[in-house]
Amino acid sequence: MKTKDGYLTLNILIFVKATIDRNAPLDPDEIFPGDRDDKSDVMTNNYDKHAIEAALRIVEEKGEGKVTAVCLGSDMADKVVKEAIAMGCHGAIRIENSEAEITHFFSVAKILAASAKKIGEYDLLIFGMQSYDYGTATMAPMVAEFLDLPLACFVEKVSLNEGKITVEKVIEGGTRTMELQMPAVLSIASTGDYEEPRYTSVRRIMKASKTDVPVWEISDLGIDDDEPSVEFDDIEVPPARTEKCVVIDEGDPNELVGKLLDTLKEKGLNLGAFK
Amino acid sequence: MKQLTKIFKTLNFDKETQEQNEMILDMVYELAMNEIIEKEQDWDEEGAHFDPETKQVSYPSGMMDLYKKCQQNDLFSIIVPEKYDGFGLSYTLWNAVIELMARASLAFSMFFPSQGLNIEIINKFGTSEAKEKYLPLLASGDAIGAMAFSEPNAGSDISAVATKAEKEGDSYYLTGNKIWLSHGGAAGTYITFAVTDKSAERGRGLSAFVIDPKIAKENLEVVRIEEKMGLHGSITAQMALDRVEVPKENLLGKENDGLRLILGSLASSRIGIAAQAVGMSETALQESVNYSMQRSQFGRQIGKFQAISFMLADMATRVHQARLLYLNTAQMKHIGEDTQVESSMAKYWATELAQKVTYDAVQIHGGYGYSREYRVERLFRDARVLTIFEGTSEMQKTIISRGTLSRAQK
Repeated sequence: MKTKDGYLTLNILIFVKATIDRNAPLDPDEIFPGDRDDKSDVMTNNYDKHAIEAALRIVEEKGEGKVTAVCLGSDMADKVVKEAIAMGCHGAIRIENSEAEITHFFSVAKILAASAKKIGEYDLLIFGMQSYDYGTATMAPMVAEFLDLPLACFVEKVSLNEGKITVEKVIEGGTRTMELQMPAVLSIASTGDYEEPRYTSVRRIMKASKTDVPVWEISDLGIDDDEPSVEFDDIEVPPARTEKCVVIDEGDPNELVGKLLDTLKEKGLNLGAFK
Repeated sequence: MKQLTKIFKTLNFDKETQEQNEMILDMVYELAMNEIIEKEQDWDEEGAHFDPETKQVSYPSGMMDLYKKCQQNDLFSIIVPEKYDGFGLSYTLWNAVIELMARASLAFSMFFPSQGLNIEIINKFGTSEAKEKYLPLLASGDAIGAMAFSEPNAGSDISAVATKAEKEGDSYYLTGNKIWLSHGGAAGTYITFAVTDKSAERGRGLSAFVIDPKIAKENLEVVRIEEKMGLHGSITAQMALDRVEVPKENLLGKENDGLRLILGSLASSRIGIAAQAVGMSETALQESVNYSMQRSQFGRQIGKFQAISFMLADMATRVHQARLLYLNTAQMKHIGEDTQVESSMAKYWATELAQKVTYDAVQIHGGYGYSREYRVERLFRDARVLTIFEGTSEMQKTIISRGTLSRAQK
């Protein structure tokens, strides 16, 4: 929140996603948390934990501030928002998503951007670098676009100065340092300063279980067009591969090359100049 | 993990407590399975250390870093009353935490049952000074709790202890030898007992104390640590007490009432040993399931042969049975029932089943199971101690049969 002296209270929104636990049995008909009956099949997207770690460390290093977790999900996601509080977030909001279960990225980004607008006061919007299930890594860029805010993705290191934020982000073959004007949107890498997210603790779990998490309805967010842009028709497990590996490794190397080419020819591969 | 949480759902916890239980178990599972289990083989190979020059003991590399994570996550404060910086949560949860820790490493899980017993005994029998001084330290884990009961001539016959306590002014001075001390030399509190009335009938002249090594100083000394068949990562020490000072506030219960007090309390930590047995058995089962799905012989996965699949079925049933036993006994204790006999049943049965489960795990792995590279080899060695420490299976059967016979006579 801005005051004339700069940034006195730092408000961070951290967006967390409920995903299917990677240890839970796979079922193509039940790929969204809302499809499952058992809460133990649901877990916090593990990349979001690095983002929570980053948000908490930024506040701890500044000495003040507030971290609020925001999650779009059905009541199966209650566990995820409570875990965010049990890691140290100061509060959380769940946006109810049980009826139509909106799952397409574009629609989700629109809802998350609208929820940030409704919250109103924010200096940083922080995301995990991608989700464990789809891994599209598009949520932070889309929300930044919807809110017209500066963006840095795959951030490994953050420092604050006078309403600006300096980040180091991973690029191919190295890192790049960038300065952004706040409010800004970040996605946090799973490497670097926030590589080891903290655990929950008994003390914070006790607090989390006593914290009421407000539940907002999508219809209250003032989104003009809430029709999903893309709908999932069907999701199937691909057929098992039947190809077998043939190993050609015994005998004279020159003959082995001949054998390899013959085998490939038999399979009808176009060998170009090796005909 | 699902099996464990499924049983928790059948217990009579309110919704909020149930949510807390599940979140705490999730956190412990993550810590155990992401970090502790990775170190387990190294700890077994490195073992605990003792320097005869300085008389200092230490745990294998990296163990204390993970102990610190348990402290940061407030794990030692689960059963400590809120008044003493704890959370006053259930014994059921506490023992499930022990199971999860033992799934990763029996050596690491050794920090828990003795901590629990120290907390329970001091809370129940300690003076208000002792409670205020030691319970917060045990809750934070800044003090590791140890038990110094056995002596060279007092094992199963614990009433034969020869360590004597002489009262001078406001303190007792303890002299004697204690053996098989888990965490000996590293602990912050030792619960022990010693002879205060030589003229009394055997077992009637014993008093229980909390030894504080900060007060005892060099009069409490590690003589050696044991080289064991398994459980290499845990310190098992022999200690000499040479006029160890124990202030009178550290007397537990009444003078000359120590044996009854200690024997009555051991039932509690026996549930923890049963939980350790279940944790190890669960890991042996999981390793066997994974191996039997991955290993092929005679053109098919060995898990598809009836000989192996039936072995897996027996192992899974044994693990489930033992888990029900310890969780039910812990829940009984949580609601305030006497569990003297049931604790012995859980300890006896779960630890004996663990022998069979870890034996079968080695069998399923064949030659690889005999190799140190595979986890089941360590599980088999480590499991052997379970039917011995905290009262042998034979002592448990003595307690169970006495309990059963006394019911028959009533």
